[in-house]
Amino acid sequence: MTTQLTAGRPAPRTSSAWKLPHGRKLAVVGTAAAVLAAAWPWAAGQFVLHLAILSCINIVIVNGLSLIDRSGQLSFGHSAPVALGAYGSVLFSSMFGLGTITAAALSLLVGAVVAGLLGWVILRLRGVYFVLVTFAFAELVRLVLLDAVSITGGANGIAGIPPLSIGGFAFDSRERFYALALVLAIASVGFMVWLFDRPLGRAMTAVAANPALAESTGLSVLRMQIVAYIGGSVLASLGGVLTARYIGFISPESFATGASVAFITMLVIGGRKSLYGPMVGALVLTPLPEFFRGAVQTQHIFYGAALILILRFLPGGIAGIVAMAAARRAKP
Amino acid sequence: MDWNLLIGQATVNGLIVGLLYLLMAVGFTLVFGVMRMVNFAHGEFYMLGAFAAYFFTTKLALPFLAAVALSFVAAIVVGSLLEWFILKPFRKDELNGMIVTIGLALILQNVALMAFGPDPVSLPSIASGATTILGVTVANSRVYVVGFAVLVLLLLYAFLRHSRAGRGLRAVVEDSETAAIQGVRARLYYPLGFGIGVGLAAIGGALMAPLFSVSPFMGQTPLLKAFMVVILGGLGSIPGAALAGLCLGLLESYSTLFLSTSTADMLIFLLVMVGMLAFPRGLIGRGEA
Amino acid sequence: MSGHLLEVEGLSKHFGGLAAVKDLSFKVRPGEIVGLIGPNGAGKTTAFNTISGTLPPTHGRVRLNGRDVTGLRPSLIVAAGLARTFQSTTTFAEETVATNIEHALLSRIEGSAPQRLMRRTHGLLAPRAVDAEVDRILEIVNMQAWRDVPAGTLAYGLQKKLGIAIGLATQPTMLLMDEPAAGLNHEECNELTRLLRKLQKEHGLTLLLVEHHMAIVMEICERIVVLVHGEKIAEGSPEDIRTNPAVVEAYLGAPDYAHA
Repeated sequence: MTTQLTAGRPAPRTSSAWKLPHGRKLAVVGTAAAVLAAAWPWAAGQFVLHLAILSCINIVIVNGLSLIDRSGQLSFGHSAPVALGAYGSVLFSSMFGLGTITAAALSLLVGAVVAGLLGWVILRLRGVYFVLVTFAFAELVRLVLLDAVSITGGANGIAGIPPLSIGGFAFDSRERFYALALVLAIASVGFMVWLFDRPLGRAMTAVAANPALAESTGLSVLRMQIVAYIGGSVLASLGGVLTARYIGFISPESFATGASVAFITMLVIGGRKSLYGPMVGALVLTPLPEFFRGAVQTQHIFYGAALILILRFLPGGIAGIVAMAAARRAKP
Repeated sequence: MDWNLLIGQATVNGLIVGLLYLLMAVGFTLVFGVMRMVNFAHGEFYMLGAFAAYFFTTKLALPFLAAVALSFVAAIVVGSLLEWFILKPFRKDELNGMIVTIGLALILQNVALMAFGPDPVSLPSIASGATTILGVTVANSRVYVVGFAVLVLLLLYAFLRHSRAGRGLRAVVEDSETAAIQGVRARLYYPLGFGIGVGLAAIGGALMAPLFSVSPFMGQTPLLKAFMVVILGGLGSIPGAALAGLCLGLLESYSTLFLSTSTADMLIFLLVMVGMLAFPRGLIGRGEA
Repeated sequence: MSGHLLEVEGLSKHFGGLAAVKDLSFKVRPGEIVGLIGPNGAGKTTAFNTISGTLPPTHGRVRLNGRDVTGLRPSLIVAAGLARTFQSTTTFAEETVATNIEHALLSRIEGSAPQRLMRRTHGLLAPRAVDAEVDRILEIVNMQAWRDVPAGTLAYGLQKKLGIAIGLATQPTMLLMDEPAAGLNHEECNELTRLLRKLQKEHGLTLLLVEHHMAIVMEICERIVVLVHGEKIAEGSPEDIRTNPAVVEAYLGAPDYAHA
């Protein structure tokens, strides 16, 4: 609500929620804590390492979803590029005898091209139609994977996937793989922070905030969204590659709608506004099944309820709470 | 190979499936039209309708038609209550509304899993034997189901056309701005629209329950089909959804004559995409662009 | 054909069976201020949207500096030098005024991805020069004091000025303005007139206004095109238009002109 009196006055300078108000001390302590937390899995045993690796893979994938979301379209079929990355890298290796890294790179490239072509067609659609089509496309990918039994193994999937290796060095232990996954997870967060500080990221933000206005300032909504869609899909495919090479087994069921829903859940609960939301969401939700100890239904009911409650009362997600707390401390 | 027989059989199958898609899609597009909400939980209401029919026929030994009717009523009530208590803050909020319905779907499916377990159950057959219509043999149970479905659709048509509530609902769906101007009490129509929309899904589930097996996972595919149908028919267009539903059913049936299932699915997906780009307002041109 | 900045030839737009704009032709010379007027429902906004790329025309051509821009998407038309403002205020409400203008500068930043994606070649800015450019534009519209204010909290008149600033930030050669005076009070109208004159004289901009506010149109436009029922019925200087019997009839005639 603005009145004629208040509207004209310049607003007091609000400090960015991420500028830590207590200065260097908090920054140093925070960084140290983060480093310790990141290093802890190596000391905590196989089970913790396993969860940590899965969390890192999810961080990469959900950052991809976030990238697409920040350009103004939310994909309800994010499991599709993950599946394409997973199956692609494995099949390029096994069918063409390529090295694991080369196969991975190739599958990312193919994923980018597919995303570009698909995006060029479907990003013209209004948000709601886009959602339906991405959902349908993900289902289609799953059905094709199920049906192309001779290539993909159908419902039985592909087992015995060899680990990633560069030169002679193989990522065949959880300790080694965690290092890789951690680096990539941090890189994906860093990438997002970097991108949204640059003109391209700001252009995507503009396009998401007010497409008609952005278009009239010379930013093509379609082109910006295609770029975001390609980037988001490549990140997802990267997550797929990691999944395949870590777990050693893939099947179409791991890339069903449940997966797409899980990614959306992580993004929403972590927070769609903050750039750190995907990371928070992945870190919170990946280990959560363990707390439910196999009561899968209760767990899913919890997810469903959490989604509804967060959207209703905390649209900024968990990262949003942190941001609000920091902002409140910033005010005198 | 008697092609005529095959085509005839495929046509009948296609129409039956098409009717199912029609029921799902009309309900789905009704919900979208009234509340601008893509209801990801729509498939779960289909599933709950099937379980309700199962419960009423096996546990309460009610006749099938009564079970279907009761399932419909139950779905309207449950749907309206859910809308009022959970979905109300998200009316008109397209994106967040969608995500909330995902949460709802998660809850509904897993409640069903907890209550009924994952294994499929089946209903006793509602009719035995088969009839031959125009040279095509159809199981009697299917004939009855089709008959009931057509009856439901006629009742729906009559409701939307001739009752005051129905006309108001149509007005809100087809042109909410004008409806608001003309004083249609849109707020009452939200729970009603949602209730009837998911009620139609429940009828679909209840009707199809004797023909296919019933499990908590059965809602996924009908949901996807509903999506494809409304993409083709145009979101918010009830006649578009009806036409597209039948077309999709027939298309699927015919294509499985010649192609493998996944190739057929791919082809249909491509056709739907092409259709969507060529007819942004749906086949009949009255949906949202 | 030469010498004209904007050439509209035979522009028509049909919606279903309804012709909102019929065979509209006019030209605008560089540095002119031209007004497009007509009673309600005359098709002005449709014509406007067709020229600015928001809607594709059914028939006709639009040329900017000799280059055919018919049916191009709005962002490409902006890259060619034709910017538009909106009738109802539209801003990036959650962002500050300065950030709003920055968003509009993005495709001009030399070497940036948006610039390369939009293939923008003129009016490029070095990345370092962005802040200075934002200040320069704020100065033109006299809004420096509101630099850090969230756009959504601005008063109506200021939001409209911000809209103009956003249009200016794209470094256009021509600015299409959709009812810039709508909702402005007397003081704000005077300010608007001064601003438009300044844009024309000091910044060499060409302006095409769609406007209802007769006083402003008569005062500031050098030429006026009159649309009734989607067709041009008159074109000329304010004096010509004021005394043109067809125009007088269109405005003072029977009330059933309200909706075409």
